[in-house]
Amino acid sequence: MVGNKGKLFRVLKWLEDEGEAKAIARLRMKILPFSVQESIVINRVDRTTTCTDRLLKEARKAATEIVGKPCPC
Amino acid sequence: MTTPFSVDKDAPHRRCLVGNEPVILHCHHFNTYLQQTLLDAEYIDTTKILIGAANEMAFHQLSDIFSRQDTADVAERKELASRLYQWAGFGKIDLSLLKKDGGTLATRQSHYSQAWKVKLGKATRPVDFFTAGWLTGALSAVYGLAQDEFSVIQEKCMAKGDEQNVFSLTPGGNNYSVYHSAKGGELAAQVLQETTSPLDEDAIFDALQGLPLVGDDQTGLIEAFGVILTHHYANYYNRISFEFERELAAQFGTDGMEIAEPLLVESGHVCAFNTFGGIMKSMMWQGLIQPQLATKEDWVHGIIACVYALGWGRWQAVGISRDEARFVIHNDYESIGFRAMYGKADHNISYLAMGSAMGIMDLVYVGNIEEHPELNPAFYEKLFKGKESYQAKVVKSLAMGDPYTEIHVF
Repeated sequence: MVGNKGKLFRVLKWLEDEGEAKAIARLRMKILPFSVQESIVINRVDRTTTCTDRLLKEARKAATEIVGKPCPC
Repeated sequence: MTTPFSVDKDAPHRRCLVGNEPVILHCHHFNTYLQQTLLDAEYIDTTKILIGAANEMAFHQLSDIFSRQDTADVAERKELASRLYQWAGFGKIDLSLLKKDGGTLATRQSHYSQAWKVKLGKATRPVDFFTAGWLTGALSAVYGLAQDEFSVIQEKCMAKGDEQNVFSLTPGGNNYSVYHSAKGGELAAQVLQETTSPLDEDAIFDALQGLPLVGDDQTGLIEAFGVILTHHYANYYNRISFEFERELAAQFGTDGMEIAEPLLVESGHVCAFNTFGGIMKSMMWQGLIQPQLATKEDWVHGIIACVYALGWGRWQAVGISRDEARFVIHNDYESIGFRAMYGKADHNISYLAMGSAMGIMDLVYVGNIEEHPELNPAFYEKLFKGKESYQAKVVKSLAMGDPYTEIHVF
């Protein structure tokens, strides 16, 4: 089900603040099959973007791995 | 360290070949970051690429050396291969442990496993894909067998917390991709540009060639300039980068390629920050190069003179200012390798060169490297996450048919 308005944006914002210089680029690489499936361009995600639970879960998992601590979003 | 193999220097092109394979210096930051990029794409079996590329390099390089030296004795071949592995800074191995029917090899010295732990922390899986593949290629070359005669599994890895790396080789077929070596490739004619460099670049090149940058007798590692260096294979980097990009393109079209580019460029950025930064803070720099430098622009020329010794091709910088610079690269190893492997490129592929050129400008003009800042992750983030960080655009590409590669950094 598509929903979760703004949640993916919050994950990305947290990653940008907490992660390394190319953290967002790494997340894009990690979740590419899922974002492509939902036609979501990560660099264009904003507060209004919606996504499935699955994509959100993959994004949180990737953000957690990249930063090295649990994504709180 | 005297070597039982020939290290062929091609000074005019700033290249080095061993067993007809171009060999270049790269640091552990680059090696691990690039490998991490491939492993991040868990939906592609990139381990087959990583192992296969190393198999390719070892097999073709050692076959060439054995053939030139007319060395048929198996023990002699194993000794030579083990020494080459150590000379290159990959660590230490004893190939006599492996036989014609494979076997198990253990080592406590591995560039990739130790570097991974130092830079990225404890791994969740074995990470020395390079040595795994290298052993399969080396053993096939030693016994004169087919390139992909052996499959390999890394059973233990120091990066995971094991005491040593353990590899098991089994005859009867591969478990990796098999590639045929592109060798040295075809070089383009060099028409050098006029630069404002105040340096005697040839003298610096000669001096740097004299540095003892070879694997340590005890550790098999090359620790210099604050990094761990390797005399790595240009075409290993080329193969893994380009095959990765091709896999992404095959599965996801242009989306895949666009996503790979910033990370491949970042590998070069990371490399420039750590290796070039380390060189510019070294005693060698202070004694040999810094006395000849008066301006920040001279610092750019100074590090370019050092790049010569890395085997990356002949670099020049023109039109340097705080606002911009053009980096002209004759026979950059990425272009030479791409053309030899796949023919003329339809897009820019000089990722390492882009990242390195940006990194040089960032270090000199944003990071004020002449003030000797500490090169740590916090400084890296400050430098490269900031809005002042430089951008780069490839305006000429040897891989795409231009006579040289030119990168505009702004």
